[in-house]
Amino acid sequence: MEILRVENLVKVYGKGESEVRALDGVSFSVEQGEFVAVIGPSGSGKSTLLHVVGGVDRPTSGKVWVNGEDVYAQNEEKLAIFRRRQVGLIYQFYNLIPVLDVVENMTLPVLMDGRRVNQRRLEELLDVLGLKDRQHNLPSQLSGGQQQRVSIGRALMNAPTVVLADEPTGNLDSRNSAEIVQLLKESNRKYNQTLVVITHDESIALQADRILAIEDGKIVREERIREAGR
Amino acid sequence: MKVFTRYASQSLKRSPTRTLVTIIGIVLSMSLFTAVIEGAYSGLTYLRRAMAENEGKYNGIIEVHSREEMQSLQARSEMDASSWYQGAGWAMLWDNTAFLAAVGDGFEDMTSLRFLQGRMPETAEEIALPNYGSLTNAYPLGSTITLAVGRRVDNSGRELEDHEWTYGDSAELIQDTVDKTFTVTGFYDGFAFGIMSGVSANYFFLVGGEGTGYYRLFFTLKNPSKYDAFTQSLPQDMQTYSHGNLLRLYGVVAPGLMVMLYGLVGVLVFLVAFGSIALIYNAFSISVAERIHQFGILKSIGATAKQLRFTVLTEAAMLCVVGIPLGLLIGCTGIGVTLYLLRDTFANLMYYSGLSTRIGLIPHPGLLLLASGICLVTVLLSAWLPARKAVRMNAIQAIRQNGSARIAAKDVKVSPLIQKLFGFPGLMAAKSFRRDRRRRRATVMSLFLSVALFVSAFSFCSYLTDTIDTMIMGDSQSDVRVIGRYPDPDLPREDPEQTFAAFMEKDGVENGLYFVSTNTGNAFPKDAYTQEVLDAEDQGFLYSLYENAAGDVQVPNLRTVFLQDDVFWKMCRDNGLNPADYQDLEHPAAVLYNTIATTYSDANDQRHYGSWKVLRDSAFPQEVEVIFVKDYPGYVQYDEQYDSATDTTSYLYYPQDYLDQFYEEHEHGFTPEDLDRSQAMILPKAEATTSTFYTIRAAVEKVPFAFATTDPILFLPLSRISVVLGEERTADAVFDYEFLVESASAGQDLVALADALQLSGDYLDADSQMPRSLATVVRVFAYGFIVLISLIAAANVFNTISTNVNLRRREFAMLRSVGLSQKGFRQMLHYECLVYGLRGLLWGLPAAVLMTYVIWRIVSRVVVVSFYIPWQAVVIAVGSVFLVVFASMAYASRKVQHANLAEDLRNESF
Ligand SMILES: Nc1ncnc2c1ncn2[C@@H]1O[C@H](COP(=O)(O)OP(=O)(O)O)[C@@H](O)[C@H]1O
Ligand SMILES: [Mg+2]
Repeated sequence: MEILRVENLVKVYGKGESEVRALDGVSFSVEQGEFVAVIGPSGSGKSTLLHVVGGVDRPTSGKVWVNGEDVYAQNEEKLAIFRRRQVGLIYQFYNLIPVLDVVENMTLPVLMDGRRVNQRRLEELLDVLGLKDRQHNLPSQLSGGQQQRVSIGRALMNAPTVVLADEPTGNLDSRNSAEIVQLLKESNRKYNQTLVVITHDESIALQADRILAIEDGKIVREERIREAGR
Repeated sequence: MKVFTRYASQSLKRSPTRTLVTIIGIVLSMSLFTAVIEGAYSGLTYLRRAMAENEGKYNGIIEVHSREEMQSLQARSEMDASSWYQGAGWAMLWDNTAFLAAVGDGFEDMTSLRFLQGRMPETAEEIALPNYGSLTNAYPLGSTITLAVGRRVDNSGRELEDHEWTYGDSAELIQDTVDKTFTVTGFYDGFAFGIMSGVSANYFFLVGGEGTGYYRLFFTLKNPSKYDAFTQSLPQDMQTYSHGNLLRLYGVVAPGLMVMLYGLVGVLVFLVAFGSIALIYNAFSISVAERIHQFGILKSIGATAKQLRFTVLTEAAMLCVVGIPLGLLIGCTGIGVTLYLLRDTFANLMYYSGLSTRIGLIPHPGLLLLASGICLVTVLLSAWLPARKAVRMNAIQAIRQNGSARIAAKDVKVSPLIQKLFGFPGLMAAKSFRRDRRRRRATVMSLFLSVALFVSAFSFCSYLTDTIDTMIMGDSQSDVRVIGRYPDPDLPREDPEQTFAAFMEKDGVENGLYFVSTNTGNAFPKDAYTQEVLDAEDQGFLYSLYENAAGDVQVPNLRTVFLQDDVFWKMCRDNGLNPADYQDLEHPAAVLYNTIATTYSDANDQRHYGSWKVLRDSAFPQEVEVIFVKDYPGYVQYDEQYDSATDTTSYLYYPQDYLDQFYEEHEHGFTPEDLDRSQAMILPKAEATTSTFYTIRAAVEKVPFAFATTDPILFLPLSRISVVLGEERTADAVFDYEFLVESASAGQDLVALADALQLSGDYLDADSQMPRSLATVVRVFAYGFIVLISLIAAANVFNTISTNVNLRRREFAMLRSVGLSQKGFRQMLHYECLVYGLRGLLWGLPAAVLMTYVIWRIVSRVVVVSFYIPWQAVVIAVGSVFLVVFASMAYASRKVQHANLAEDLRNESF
């Protein structure tokens, strides 16, 4: 089942002389439970693509459908709720809220939704992420790897339609990197979680089901490694 | 260093809002420094000039014995300007001594000598006299006066020094006289201050030409505050007279006044500096915190601590370059306009009226430089303090710090109740509020300070102005009152009704009445008085009642006012009385303003204001007997005696001769008991007195505008005056007509009319003008100060909050990227505002109440006022706190809300 479809996305920054076409007609689609890696040189438009897909940055033109819904046809209020429920974002620099502890950061989207936290899922995630005895620590009291695990926990907590990760291991050493990728893969397999991961790292890309290569805002290559979910 | 200068200017540009607020802070502080310092200087200069106009601008007088000596003094470098007169001999006029002074050039200018008629004498044959009635009548302008001019000696023939008075048996004689005839050229205002210093004469005449005696050099110094040093440098035996009233304003003579002024200015400057440092310090400490990370990077690539400090100080200096000149300009304009608008109010404050000098801004380059210096130091200090901390941190620490202070888990612990009550936004708000103790404290502190400062300054003002209002008494809002009274019975006068009509015809007259006021010494039985007033008298709070020998009690200050009939009827109606009850012509009816009020000290030396009802309600109607003592030629009625057995009072008449002799023998005081009663002719009441009768029918509370007073008053219709006072006394009383007209606009006209009618009295009701002017001045300056200080505080709050929001941009973006809606975002910030506002008030209001209490304690030592909290101020303070907090938040978050999310998320400089 197609869960995410992107059609002819264009994103232009600036005007005239300083105009930058960060995305220049990008189209692709992602199936439910697929693990897609996006690779490309620095400045090629990877992050821009992720933000547009995540409902954070409005495209100049083009459309994004998630779960059959036209994302940017919604008003700001609906868009916020969309981000809350349908998307899980993971950043290179974790972007945790410094005043909230591990559990609070992880349950943030649920809290914001005013819903009850699914304690079983939380326990399970904490266990999987190895954060059981760090539950009430603040981000400043955690290592980089741990912080990134919290942000993964936050992304997965709500069981979003799609998890988007922007160089999630860019700031970590190789051991931590491997662990994080392992976790992502596990979530993909265990929860059939759709996953789009931006990375520089060839070895990470090769663990995906499919690789999209971007250059100058265009998809220049698409490579299927294996069938989804295998 | 150039790169660091550029770095400084770049970082200013990077956060334009904060830069602007900081500049506004500097401008505000600078304008307050300027206003305080320039205001004090302009005020002082005004006092000096007004004093110079009133009493002459000379600093002192030196008595010298020769022209050469005088010229060498005039040539001294300390001298600014001078003039002199030379003694030109003594004369006798109508048994009074007259001193002749040959005046030099510019004497009028150096003293407060004013010619009411004519001019200064120019030749040795001309003379100017003081403007005394006797002299103007006897020697009108242009007539001649012949004086026998010579030396003044005592009866042993010794020549008297000019300053010597003669005492006792020693007589003053004028010897070796030459008759001189002068033409009278002018009359000068006889009250010119100080020109007779060192001359012990009854009259002081000015002549032209050369004199024969000592010179008296009137001089001003270039620097009057060096007066003492100057006079000490003069030869020991040289006699000097200082112009104390003027020199006092230069800190010479009695330095206390200057110390007080400097003290006051110092306190105000300190307050401003305190507020400014809080603001500017905050601004810089935030900007430094934000850049600690960058500092770390700079350090790691080899920037020295000195260079980093240089950057911050350069940043501060750049802000000063804009802020200080602007503040200077605004401060000068502000205080200049204020003084200009208040110039007449200030003139009313002076003890002497009729001066042409007006207060105005007097820019003083040195002081402006001083104000700028203070401001610069304040700003540099505020920038330097937080920079010091940042610079001391080592590079790695700084890079790791990443802009925000480390947070401990317990710092952000929030009661689960909050989340229950306010949901997720409430939780976030509470946590954010707790996150950074220093920044939170800065915000709460500035709110707290503003509230406390505002409320207590407000209460200070209202206590002060309340007191002044009770001093003014009455609710009259008019600015000018003219009270006219015919000066003496011999002058021709119009019918009072016509005079009154002439006043009332003037445009702009709002109110007027006329009346005759006497004191008929009425006594009432003691049991007619209320217990409270008798107790107050017993306890020594009042000194208003007097019990006579017969046991009746009298209020010596009780005036009887015969009021224009229609005003009287109106007063009856205003008090709910029926005028028809007051129409009896044979037996007049009166009303009593039945209140006595005073300030008093209780046993603990606390001052209070009290007012008491005088006569009991049951005392009305009260019969009044007005007793007039008869005259017996050759006798003076003095004292009376009461015989309790017969309940009769008799009157003692002493022979005039005996009393004259008695007074002579008891020059230093006596009591009635010292009189020899056997000398007295004692007459029974029936023989000694005549009486008239009337009835006080009721007490009133509302009295016409002119009679707001602290003493009780008896009112009767004017038409009944002859029934009460008798024909003869009524005729005498007529010159006591008082006309009272008030108007806010026609003051000058009324004064001119009163002058034209030769009425005497207080034209411009100085008694109420002065406190009212004082109230205005206090209000304007106090409120001006409060408003500006509050603005500084508001800028501070704004700055802290908006920077706080700005620092959390990335965090906000983050929250929104995981689905925080606009509404939720706003809610979160509103809760945060609420927390800040409540915290500020939680500390600020109790502090304000406490400070109000302290102020009340201090103020109530001087004046009487009861303790209260100025609720309007509290309401304004609470309102403004939330207004400022919410406005700051709204402003700051507006930018964040509309920012590009993706961009903020990418932004890694925090
Ligand atoms: N806010 C912006 N304004 C202007 N140009 C931008 C902005 N954000 C990104 N870009 C430009 O868009 C291009 C793509 O950026 P990005 O998506 O961050 O690349 P990547 O993540 O692949 O390194 C770059 O050339 C970048 O400079
Ligand atoms: Mg990127």
